[in-house]
Amino acid sequence: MNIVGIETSCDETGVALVRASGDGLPVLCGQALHSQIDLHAAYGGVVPELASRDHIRRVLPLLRQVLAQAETALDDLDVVAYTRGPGLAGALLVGAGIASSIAAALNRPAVGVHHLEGHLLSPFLSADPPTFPFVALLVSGGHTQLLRVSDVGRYELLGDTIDDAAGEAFDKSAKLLGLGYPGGPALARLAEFGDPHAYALPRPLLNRQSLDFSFAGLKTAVRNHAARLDSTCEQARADLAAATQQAIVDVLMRKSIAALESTGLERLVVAGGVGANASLRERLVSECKKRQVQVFFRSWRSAPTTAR
Amino acid sequence: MIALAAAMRLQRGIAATSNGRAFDVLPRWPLTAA
Repeated sequence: MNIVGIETSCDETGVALVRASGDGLPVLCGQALHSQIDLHAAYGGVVPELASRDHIRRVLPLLRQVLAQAETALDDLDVVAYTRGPGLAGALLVGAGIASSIAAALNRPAVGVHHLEGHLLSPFLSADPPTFPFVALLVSGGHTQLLRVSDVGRYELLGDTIDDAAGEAFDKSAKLLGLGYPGGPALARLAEFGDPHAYALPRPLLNRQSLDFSFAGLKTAVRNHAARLDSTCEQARADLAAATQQAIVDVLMRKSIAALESTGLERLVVAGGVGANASLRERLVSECKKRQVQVFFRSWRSAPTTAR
Repeated sequence: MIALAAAMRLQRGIAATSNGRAFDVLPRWPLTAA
């Protein structure tokens, strides 16, 4: 069974094709991604209308590229999947409309998929996939959640952010430090040169039993420190970046460990864009190793193709 | 990875296929409701 997926929920157009047979794990046969970073950089964030228009331009060329990679003809597709949500309404409609049109033309089913479920299950494409059940830490620009995952479609929410997402805290702190878009990776790069102990920043909700998160207070603290920074002192900016990253990573790591302890599960899956943060990965790997917990990140058997 | 999630749902018989070619999107959609 050949399943093609079309992702257009925000500022990246993604197309991938997997092949599934029986109960075996699906195999990735082709993938292509177009990032809109250059398109939105001048505005300091994603402009929804521009995102939608760019998805329209990109989907079909990316689909042709993926079909060629997978040596698969359009007629050989069995299912056309698309991101149904969450995301930007206009951007989602582009992917849903194109996917449904292709499915109708081929007389095949179209399947709407939850964007975060795609993130959550992505470690199953790695050479060493997890097994159910596991705790999932979903961290992105729009979400920060801890879930107990018993199987595909069986998700129990353990904790959620009560205000900002972790990725939002990274991006907005980066903006306060005068860094470019996307801010998270820029802040992480600057943090490499800073002292994470130079500033005392809050770690909200760490002393409560709840597995919920809160990052709005951290953002305010960063704003207050940033307003007092000497703009010519690069070291001070690096120190604040390092302290900010450490505060976010501390909270994510300690809440993840608390979720593992409360559920008694021994596997942690980290998914979402913030999961690429090197400091978060190092801390989680180190802490999970101490507890004999396996930790899984998204890692493909082949590198993603970037189309420009 | 949307294709992967669709494939794993189809293998378990829990994929929500489109009905009569109509489609919609859900800009706010809790994962626990998926």
